[in-house]
Amino acid sequence: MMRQRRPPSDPARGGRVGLTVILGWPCLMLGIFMLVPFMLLIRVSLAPADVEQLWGQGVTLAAFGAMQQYGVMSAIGYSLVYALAIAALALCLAFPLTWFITGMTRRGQIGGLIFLLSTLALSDVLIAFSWQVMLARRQWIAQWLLATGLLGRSKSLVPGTGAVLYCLLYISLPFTVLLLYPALSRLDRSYLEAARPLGATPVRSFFTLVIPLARMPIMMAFARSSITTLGAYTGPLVLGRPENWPLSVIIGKVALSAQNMPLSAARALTLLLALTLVLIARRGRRVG
Amino acid sequence: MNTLTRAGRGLFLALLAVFLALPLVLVTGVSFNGKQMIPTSVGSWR
Repeated sequence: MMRQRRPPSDPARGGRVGLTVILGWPCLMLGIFMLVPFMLLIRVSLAPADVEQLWGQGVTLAAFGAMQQYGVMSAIGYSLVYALAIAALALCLAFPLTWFITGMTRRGQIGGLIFLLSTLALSDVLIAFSWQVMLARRQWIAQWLLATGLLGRSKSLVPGTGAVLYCLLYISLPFTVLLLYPALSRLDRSYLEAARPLGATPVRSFFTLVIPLARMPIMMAFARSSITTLGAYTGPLVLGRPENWPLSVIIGKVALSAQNMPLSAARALTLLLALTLVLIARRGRRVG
Repeated sequence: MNTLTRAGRGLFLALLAVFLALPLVLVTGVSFNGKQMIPTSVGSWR
């Protein structure tokens, strides 16, 4: 005999309990994995330096007072410039690339995506050292630039800002394509065909139809690229000049070499504050 | 125009493919060649 389930006495209350349980788990995970380390970061930044115990007891603002040392302000500037430049460059290259991939046959799309995914098999350390080797004085890139006259004399292209940008772009590009791919592959291309009899050229249709329809994935890809580039460490460390290092490298140096955890925590918070200010300014400009 | 567009697309895809393939080819080649890509050995490449 089949048992009949009794309906809950109050469906609205049951729904609320279910929603609380469903939302409770991610909130708990966010609290544990994001809020706790963030609170710890704030606590460490306010502690006095103590090499033996990582940080000392008590509260002081000394770490925030040392902001003028080691060119922190210029490092913040380089961090933001690298982040925004790489996000913009990656988007400018990845968007047409994804558009072309989604226009290919099924086999071509799979091949293109597998190729992109295979580049992710390299760690950022391997990518940085690969570019260091390829941009060296004796390698073919420098030799080819010398032969074509683009390089005045034989020299290594590393360390340099260009090498850092190549490396960071190489890391960001596959992720940007993978973020854009679902939206662009679902985009109905009949819109473009419908726009053609109305006088729109393919280029005009691309800019007035495709890009506005993919606005949200574009914003997501830009945010992802800029945030991950902001924390890039190996590429700028290996390929950049010390005077062009972003703040993430300075933070790593202060934490690992100088063993000054409060100072590195204070600088991490400063970087976070700088990014927040940029986002607020951008939002304010959009609202205005 | 169509040929030009197709040629431009082909050039764009080819350049990007080379850009993305270079480190992959280098790492694969170096690993098969038996050379180390650790920082201490990088000086010898310069």
